[in-house]
Amino acid sequence: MALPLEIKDLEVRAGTRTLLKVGDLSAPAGALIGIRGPSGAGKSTFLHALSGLIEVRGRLCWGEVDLARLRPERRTAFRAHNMGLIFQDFLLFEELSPQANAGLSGLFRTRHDRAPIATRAAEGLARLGVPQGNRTVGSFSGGERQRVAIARALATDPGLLLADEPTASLDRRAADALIEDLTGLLRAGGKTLIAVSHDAHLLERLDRVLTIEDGKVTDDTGVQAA
Amino acid sequence: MKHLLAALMLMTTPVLAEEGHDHDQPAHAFEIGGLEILHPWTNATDQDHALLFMDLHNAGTARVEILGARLDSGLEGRLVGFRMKDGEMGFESLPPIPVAPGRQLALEPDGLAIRFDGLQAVLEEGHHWEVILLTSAGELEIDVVIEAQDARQHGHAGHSH
Amino acid sequence: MRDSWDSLPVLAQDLIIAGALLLPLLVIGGILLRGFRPLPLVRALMWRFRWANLLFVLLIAVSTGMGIGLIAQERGLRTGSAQAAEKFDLVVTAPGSELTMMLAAVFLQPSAVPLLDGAAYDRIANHPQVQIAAPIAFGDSHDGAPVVGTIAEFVTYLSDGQIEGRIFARSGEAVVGAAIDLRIGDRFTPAHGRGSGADAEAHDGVGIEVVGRMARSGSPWDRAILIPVETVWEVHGLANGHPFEDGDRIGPPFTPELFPGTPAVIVHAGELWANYALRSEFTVAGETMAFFPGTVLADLYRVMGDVRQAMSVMSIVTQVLVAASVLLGLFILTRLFQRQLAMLRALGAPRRFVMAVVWGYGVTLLVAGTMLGLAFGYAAALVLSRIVTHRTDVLVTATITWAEVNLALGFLSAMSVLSLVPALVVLTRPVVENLRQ
Ligand SMILES: Nc1ncnc2c1ncn2[C@@H]1O[C@H](COP(=O)(O)OP(=O)(O)OP(=O)(O)O)[C@@H](O)[C@H]1O
Ligand SMILES: [Mg+2]
Repeated sequence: MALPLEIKDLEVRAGTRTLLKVGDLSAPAGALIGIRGPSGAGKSTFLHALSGLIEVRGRLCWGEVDLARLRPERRTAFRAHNMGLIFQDFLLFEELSPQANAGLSGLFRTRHDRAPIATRAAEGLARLGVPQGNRTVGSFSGGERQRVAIARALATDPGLLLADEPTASLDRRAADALIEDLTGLLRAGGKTLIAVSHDAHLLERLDRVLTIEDGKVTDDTGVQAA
Repeated sequence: MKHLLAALMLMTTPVLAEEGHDHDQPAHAFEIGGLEILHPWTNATDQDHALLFMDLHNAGTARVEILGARLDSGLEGRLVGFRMKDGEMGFESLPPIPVAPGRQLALEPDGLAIRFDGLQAVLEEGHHWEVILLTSAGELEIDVVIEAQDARQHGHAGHSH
Repeated sequence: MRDSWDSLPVLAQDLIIAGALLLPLLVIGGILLRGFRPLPLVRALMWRFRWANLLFVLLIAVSTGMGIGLIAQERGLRTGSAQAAEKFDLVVTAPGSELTMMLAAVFLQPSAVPLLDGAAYDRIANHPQVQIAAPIAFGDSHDGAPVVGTIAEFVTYLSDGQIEGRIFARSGEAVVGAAIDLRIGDRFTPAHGRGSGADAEAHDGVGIEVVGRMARSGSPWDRAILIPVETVWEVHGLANGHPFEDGDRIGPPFTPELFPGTPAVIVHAGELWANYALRSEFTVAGETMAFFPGTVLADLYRVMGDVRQAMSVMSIVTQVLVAASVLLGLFILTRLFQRQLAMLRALGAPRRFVMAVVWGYGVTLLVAGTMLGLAFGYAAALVLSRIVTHRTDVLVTATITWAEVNLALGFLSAMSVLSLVPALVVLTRPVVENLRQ
């Protein structure tokens, strides 16, 4: 189930340095949000904060849950149940089949969750047009790999997808095709997307685009869609 | 306290050890019913079992049987023989062994011995150990020299006397 | 507590020890793996680093196998040689080296040894406690096998009466050991000497007929040809121990003046204790020496035991070094898949799952290496035993006992605990740092 986002006085620090500071930000459940900005601005840091991978100060609420006040293992569990993550370089297990990769979460989830995860992984792969069969993903193209990664992120039926440069490793054609399928899938499922990207083709398909510069949100366009 | 004892023991042990090997000591031999017992000895040990060795010579006219041995505490030692069985070394209990007049019998490592099980006190190298030898000719108190833990023969072996 | 332990069957004790040794591994495994399925990822890692993994497994296997093979072989040699000497309670020879005499008289190794004369033999043979006093005579051979002269009683005793055909009854007959390639009824001419220096023509005209075959004993006597001691003496042109009036009679008693001498008398006493008395009595300075082959072997085993201990220390050191390099290898390899492990954490995998994957990977290598090591050790012991048995005819059997298995299990268990270290180290680095790289 997708959850609304509410941020107040969010601050991420490394030692004495403040990497990120966000005063007020909220987004409804199901919004597709893009983040752009120069290198080193704090985009990935923001994504890590949103996924609960790092310690933050202030309020960072997904629905009722304030990640800033959860212990790390609780944040991990929250992530396992509510979020899917996609990375620029896919991070698949090349030795495994697409089905095994997409169903990876089943390996550490309860027995009860395993069958649904496997089923959704298979469905996701089919819907994203990933080649079937016993091939391992080691022989897959970049576009195919990112589709497997998306199927993996969505196999747990999360309300929220976080993506860091999902199209940066793909060529134009592959990227466009992926953007088409990804946004279609997310809108159909009513899921929230927060994607860091420089890809204009991706950003223009989203509801809203934030610009982060020097650790601060300096621009917030497309609010109209909210 | 324990350390003090240990230190005392370290100081006294060499002196006693020297005494044990002292040639001016009374000859290390005993006799009963014509049976001469030479150089009774054992190995130092802190375990609860020990083997008693000696050289026997029947200089008398009657045969004498070796039955075993006993300690003052009443602990009995029995005759055992070293045996190799399936590659494992071990001891077997033996019945009394006769020594005929004019004959010799050696109790020695990897041969015959009198074995004590259930010792209470530690046997310390250089010290002496009082044992009562049981023979068909009677009982005899003998003074057993305690040799090194890994000694294979008594301290006088090789000496010509 | 001690009593109830001692009252358990040996197998139960071994199994309990094995279980106790494996306990740390099982407990860690149980705690780490409960509810998880890390196997597909462990398999993926096994495949990804297959060459390094193979190297690790072989390293562990060789080091484990070396230790195990060594212990198994030493025990096999010990049991085999002790069993081969079992029938030889007491041996009386001329004074000299007990070891040389034992190798000659019990293990039939050719060597020049001094002889005991007829008087000495007579004294031994007539001792009231002596049941069998077997003179032996070596020197000849047939087809590489020693031809040993002795008496019928001893052959019966040696073979426990298990003789196919019959015992030799007159000079010129032979009973062969189980490994001898002669059939009952065959005739042969012994060669003078043994080995490459043997002279095949020296005894031309002498024909010896095989009349019996002994059952296998697992001793060098399996490859010996036993003939009446009189035959050996006659063939060499010596008196045969009997006066002319005796006719063709063989075996004891011998006339001391007509007794050409024997390098050793193998004595079997009526009672066990008598052996010890006999040893004392037949040890006469400058004349005869009496020894228990068992005691000589015991001395030898003590030396062997020391060597084994030294080698065990070396093999343990090797194993520790191997363990260290395998751990180091695990560290390096886990670095290589640290990003993927971070990804697992990002997907919401608990720390315990990541540990289970890394630990499971390490333990899979260890288990494979240990199992292969047991097989290597067994194979090595088997091959060595074959060689020793072939060369010496001392039946050496290779066995892997619980002692070796438990040694291997102990190593496995200790290593599995150490494998937690790379697993824990992986977790010390923050997930995002690993994700960034
Ligand atoms: N643990 C940390 N300690 C100190 N500085 C850090 C730490 N993590 C990140 N930074 C710094 O924070 C800044 C923001 O990093 P971040 O990865 O969020 O940038 P980004 O916007 O994603 O850049 P890019 O587009 O290159 O990926 C960088 O200057 C980085 O060096
Ligand atoms: Mg970034």
